[in-house]
Amino acid sequence: MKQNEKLVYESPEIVGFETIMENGFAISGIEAPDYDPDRSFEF
Amino acid sequence: MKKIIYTLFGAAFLFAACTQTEEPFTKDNTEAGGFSLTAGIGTKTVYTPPFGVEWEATDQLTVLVDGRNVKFTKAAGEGDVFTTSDFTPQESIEYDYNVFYPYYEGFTSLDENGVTLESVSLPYGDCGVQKSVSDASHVKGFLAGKTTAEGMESPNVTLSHLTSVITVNVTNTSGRTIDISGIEISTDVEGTVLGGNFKVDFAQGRLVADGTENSGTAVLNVENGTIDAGRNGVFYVIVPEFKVPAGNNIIVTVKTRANSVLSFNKTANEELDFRQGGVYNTSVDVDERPMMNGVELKDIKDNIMASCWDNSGTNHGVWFDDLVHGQEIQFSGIYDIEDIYNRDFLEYDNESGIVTYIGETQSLDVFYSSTMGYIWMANDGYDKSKVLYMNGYGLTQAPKWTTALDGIGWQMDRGNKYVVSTPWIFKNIDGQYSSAIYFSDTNAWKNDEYISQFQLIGFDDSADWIYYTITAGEGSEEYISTAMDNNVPTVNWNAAYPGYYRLTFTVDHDAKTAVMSAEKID
Repeated sequence: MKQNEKLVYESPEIVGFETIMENGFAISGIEAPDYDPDRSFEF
Repeated sequence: MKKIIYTLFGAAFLFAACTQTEEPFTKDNTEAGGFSLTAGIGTKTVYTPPFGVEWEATDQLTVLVDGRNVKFTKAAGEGDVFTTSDFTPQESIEYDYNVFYPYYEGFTSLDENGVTLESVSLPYGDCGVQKSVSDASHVKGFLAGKTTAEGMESPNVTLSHLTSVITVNVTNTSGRTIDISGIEISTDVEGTVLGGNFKVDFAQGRLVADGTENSGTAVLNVENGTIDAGRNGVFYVIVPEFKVPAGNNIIVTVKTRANSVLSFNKTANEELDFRQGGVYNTSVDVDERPMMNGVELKDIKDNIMASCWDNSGTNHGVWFDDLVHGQEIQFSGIYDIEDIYNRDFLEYDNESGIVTYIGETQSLDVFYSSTMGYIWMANDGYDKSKVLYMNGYGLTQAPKWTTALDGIGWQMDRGNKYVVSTPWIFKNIDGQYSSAIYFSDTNAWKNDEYISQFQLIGFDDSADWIYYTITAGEGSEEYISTAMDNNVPTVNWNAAYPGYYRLTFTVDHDAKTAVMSAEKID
């Protein structure tokens, strides 16, 4: 994973993504599912 | 950056979302020297009709794991990565991950069947509000999925929709602009639940109505719902899954800001299964009509000569028997009622929006003009002993001046059929008549000195015209000059115009004189 620049704080407390990983956890590959055209119809 | 503010409703920990406010990144210290980050939250998942859904930056997930509710926030940049600083798996331990979108802090844990102990509400928060016609940014349904992973292994989770979308395509066939305020979906199938509070069944991947606040109606409120005549607009309603057996009906209800409630039955020719994750489309033609107490009014938008004077019947409005002084009147399909209600027979409460009939108890002929914007009310055939007439130019009873009125003035010789420009002055008591008149500063007759001139006319016993000599009484000189020749008062330009004025004439029929008072009214 690349460093997440949005989660980096400026001085005096520099917090990078690696630091997060040391203290936390990430889940990857969760897709936002599209709606299903096969379940759709007109009424 | 925006932050979602979640609101909890009482002990039930019901879920509200989508209320947004601006807030920068914040940092919250946590125990054991760790930390958590609450990122600024943008809008939630982005729906692109007809089927597309994408994450929005800094979306958040609820993850129930290890007996805890852990918030995961989408990492910036490419990829479907969600991170947390509040949870670190331990090596060699297998965890069940129950994932729900969006983040809901009210979830605590699951029962033995994998169902949440707490409930979420549908629709949730501002997600039940469509911001404008055909805007889909409010479409944010629930997602859920579950998986198992060991240690630091990243869980492989597939999320599924727990709700679906019904799109309602509204075509305006009213011949005039309408303003949609809401869309509702319901059925005539007993027990159908389309809104309220639901628990999340992670084992089955579905919502379960919890029996509280559950309703058979899915409600969408609409802001900025204007649709011009002949045009259409699309509205998106979020619903849980439901079925409609063949022969039953789905009921689509369209509400407008003119208090119209128009329902359309859509009969199922075969069983219709509104499964979660689907998009279901329907269309309705909305022909909004002006109504009073549930009865359609005649709209004289093209025929300004419509009249209730001639007794022929062809030009009458709609007859209402026995209107009772003080009774509440229900109008629908009429916009801006506060501007156009008849000031002589009706009273409008600005706070409640209630219209009350204030005339004497009687039967009245009522009609309406969407073009001129006014509601006329009159007795049948107009007894000459009960009414006088104003004749002239630049004056109406309706607040709108249209080009159709430009060529009409001093029209008594044409039979008093111009109801717009020949106001009736009603008898209050013996010798006193009054009426609300609208003086417009946009009429075609105005010049640099005055905006209107008029006469007061009645009938003698031979049905010949009586022209009254008008003198200025209380308040009238402020607005109206009576110094003109030929008994023709002049409405002068001043800061008080335009607007409604109540003119009251104290009449001496024998002397053919009238003392006029004038009062500006709302």
